[in-house]
Amino acid sequence: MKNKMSFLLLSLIALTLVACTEKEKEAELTPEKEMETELTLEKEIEAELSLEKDTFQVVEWKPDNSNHEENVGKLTANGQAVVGAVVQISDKRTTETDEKGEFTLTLDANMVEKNTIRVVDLDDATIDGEALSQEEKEKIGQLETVMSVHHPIVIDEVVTNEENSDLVNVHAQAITVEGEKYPKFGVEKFSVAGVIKNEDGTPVEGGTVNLRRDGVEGFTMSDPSNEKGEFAMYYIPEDDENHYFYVYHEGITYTLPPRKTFLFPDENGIELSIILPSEGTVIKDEPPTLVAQTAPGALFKGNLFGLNTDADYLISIPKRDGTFTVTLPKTAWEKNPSFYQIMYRKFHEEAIQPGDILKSSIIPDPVVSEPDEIIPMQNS
Amino acid sequence: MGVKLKIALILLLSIFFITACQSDEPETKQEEAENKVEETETDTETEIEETEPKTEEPAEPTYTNWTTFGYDLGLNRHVPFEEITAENVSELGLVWSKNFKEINENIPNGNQNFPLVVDGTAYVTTSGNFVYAFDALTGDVIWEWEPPAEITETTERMGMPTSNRGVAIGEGKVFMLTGDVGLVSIDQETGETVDFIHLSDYYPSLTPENGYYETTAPIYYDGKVFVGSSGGDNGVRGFEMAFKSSDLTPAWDEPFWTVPPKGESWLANGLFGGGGAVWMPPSVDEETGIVYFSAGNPAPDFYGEKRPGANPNTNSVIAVEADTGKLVWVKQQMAHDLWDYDTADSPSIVKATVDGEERKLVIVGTKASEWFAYDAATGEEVYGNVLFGKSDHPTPTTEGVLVYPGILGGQNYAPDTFDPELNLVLIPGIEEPSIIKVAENEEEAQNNDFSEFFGAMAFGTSYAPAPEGIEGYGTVTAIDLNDGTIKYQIETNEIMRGGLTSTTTGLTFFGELSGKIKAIETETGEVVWDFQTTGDTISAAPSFFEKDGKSYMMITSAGSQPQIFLFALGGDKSQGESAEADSEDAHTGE
Repeated sequence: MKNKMSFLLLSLIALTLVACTEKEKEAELTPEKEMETELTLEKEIEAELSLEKDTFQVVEWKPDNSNHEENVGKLTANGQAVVGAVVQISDKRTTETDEKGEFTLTLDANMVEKNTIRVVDLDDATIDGEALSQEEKEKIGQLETVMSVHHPIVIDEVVTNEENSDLVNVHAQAITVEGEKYPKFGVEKFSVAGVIKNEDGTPVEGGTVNLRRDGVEGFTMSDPSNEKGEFAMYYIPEDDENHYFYVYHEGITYTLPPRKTFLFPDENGIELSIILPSEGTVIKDEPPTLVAQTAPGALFKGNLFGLNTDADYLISIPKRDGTFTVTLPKTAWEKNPSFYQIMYRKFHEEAIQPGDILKSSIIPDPVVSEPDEIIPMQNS
Repeated sequence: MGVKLKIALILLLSIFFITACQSDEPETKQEEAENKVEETETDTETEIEETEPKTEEPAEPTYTNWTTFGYDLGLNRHVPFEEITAENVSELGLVWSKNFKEINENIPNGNQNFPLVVDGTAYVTTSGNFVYAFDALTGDVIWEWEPPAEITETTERMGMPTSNRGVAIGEGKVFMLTGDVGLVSIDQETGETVDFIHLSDYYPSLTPENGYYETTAPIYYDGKVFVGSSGGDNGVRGFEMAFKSSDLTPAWDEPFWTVPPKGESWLANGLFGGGGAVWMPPSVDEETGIVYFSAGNPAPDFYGEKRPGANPNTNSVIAVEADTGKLVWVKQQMAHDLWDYDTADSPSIVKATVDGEERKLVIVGTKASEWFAYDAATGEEVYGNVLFGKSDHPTPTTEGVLVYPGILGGQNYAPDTFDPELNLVLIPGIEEPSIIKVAENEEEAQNNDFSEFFGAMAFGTSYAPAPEGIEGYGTVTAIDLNDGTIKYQIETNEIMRGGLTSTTTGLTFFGELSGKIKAIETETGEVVWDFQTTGDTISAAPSFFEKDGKSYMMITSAGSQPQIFLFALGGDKSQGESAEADSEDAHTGE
């Protein structure tokens, strides 16, 4: 794909004649002049919102933030600069076009993402010193373009699946910058989940479990428990170490007995059963008021690829060298599906790691800010 | 000029006046004003003596303001006020004080606010993100901004410190970071909310659930509000970011992230890792448009095996372009920190004499009790590792080691002050060791039977106070910028948590944990005044302002009864209980 790509929105805009509001002059038009007007009305406005570069390869984070790359955009109409237009970058920053119709923006090439750049305000915009007509505003205001940061994909080999000849195994590689590796996929946090109940066994809704490191910074908290008293949060202690343990409910903070702290492991999740006292605010640190069990699984996180196809498929988690495989129906592959790249973040009871194969049913669709049209290249 | 042109001009002017006469409200006021003048003129003709006072405009008060966190954007904390001197400082007394909980009982304990004062109005925050506009001269509340329930609910659920160090002011608005990682702009006149965003609206990872929280004051400069965050030890990814003051939308496309994302670079293997939080406000060089901020320690704090290398950008001073966030230079004060020795204090930009020549420097003290000075433009080190406290910190072990400085520093967030006339920087220090230890190794951790550990373990594994018999204390260290040497160091009764403010008359003021406020001679460190307030644990530095040439000092106190005090010459000298004079002519308690 060429780096320089323009997203053109061609619009037919009837040019607003200055004279058109001047009825007196309108009345004076001769048939010849009317013909001229019709010709002018047929003139097209070619409006363009373009970027110097619309595709960026993911790079590793650099201490000097040189992974931030500058890009220049340009807004024109009929080849003339649209000056003073407000352009928004992915619902974040807004900026104005300068006298050349240009604007600069910075993107973080360390983050897999798709940025949408759109024109959001033309009230103060001008073309050749003149304010825009309503029609021009409407048409130019619809312009948008995208800028994608992702790993380019190269298809190394496509072979027929040995077990099912209707399927093919696509051996692909996410291309990284020389000397860099594909981002590591792995555990982000372990889960701390469980149930909060009252002494009479009724579930406590709206309770929050809160862990805080002893003596130094560090904390986490759960979302409020649901109607069944269930809560969940993810946490990764620095090491196995002690924590203050609180349950907050309806303005009351429940704690462990004085000088008691909770030792959390740093390599596993846990499941907790908590019973709040009917009197006082101290949770007895013994069963049945406080019971903990090891819990399998963890929250896994990393960049994965998905395929834009209706067919079911299997796809592996890319290894650090970027290699991965896709197994899918041959008919689906022959339709040349594009890929998308996402930040995957999901709880798995069983550990998963680079090279493991995932079903397409668990690969989420890309959200609007994730690259969704990655055209693979063939390894020549 | 031709006749026709003259006529045209006259016509144009006539049209202008006719047009002006057609405008409504201003014209009415103008008419009223004209009428008043006419009336006065009439009076003048008849009763000259009586009229004279009427023709004089009432004198507008003049103010010299404290408009940003560190007095100026360079965070020098040095005021040019001449009224309070070593000779008359003993006449300082209380003008007014307020107990925040008597204003609003919902205000939490503690206070680390550094007040701003603009044109006679003081803008002050409390723990839990309450904001007050006080009449700075009387203490009357002009308006109160109560935090929305969502902020209080989130910060209470987090159970974390709800400290807030203050606001920024610009474009008629008051800006504050909220504990739930939000940024609010408040109408400076009315106290009404203008805009309120959560940083996660634009950068989804910046949430309390991920370990971020806010205690720092923002800085307003050139249409932008600069913000960092707390939370580095929670394994979050530190950042500095700018938002537009007009509508709180991003002013930069991306934050300046101080550390890599998890899974990359030196965080490739550590699950918990992160850090580099920007705890304190940045300084801004208005001449160059460069913003300087300090990034804190790497996480995990005491456990470095899974974060190999220098952990660049942590414990560092970072200079970026104010308009874009693009890096100008970065200097690290401690590589691969194992002791939680943040560069917590904001960098200050000073114009100092160095080896006889004026230079613009960026200076900073660290929790490792080390002080540094860099060339503001290039980052070239001018002075490095100037030690101002005891330094003895072996590598942490599972058994525990006693380390100097302790967990609090060094120089913590308490700001220093720079006196350009004396060419001295004064640094507030903490001399209090800690015992730190790393946890068991991973193999042991994997063999744990978790049910055995419920409540069974003694208090504290990773950090403990110093053993009995070792008393902590504070220091004020004066460093001569000409050669980078320590000119003097004094000890203070308590560790220095609040910070320093100096005056052009050669005095430096600070509060202490005892609730006492002191003044020392900047040149010598000699205590020349102390005053026992009724407050506790002063945890912020004083702000000064002037009205009609008279100087006032405002300071907050913390503890369970957080308060705010205003002092001036001629104020009430009655002191709080437990006053112990630390200067020869200090007042006695009453």
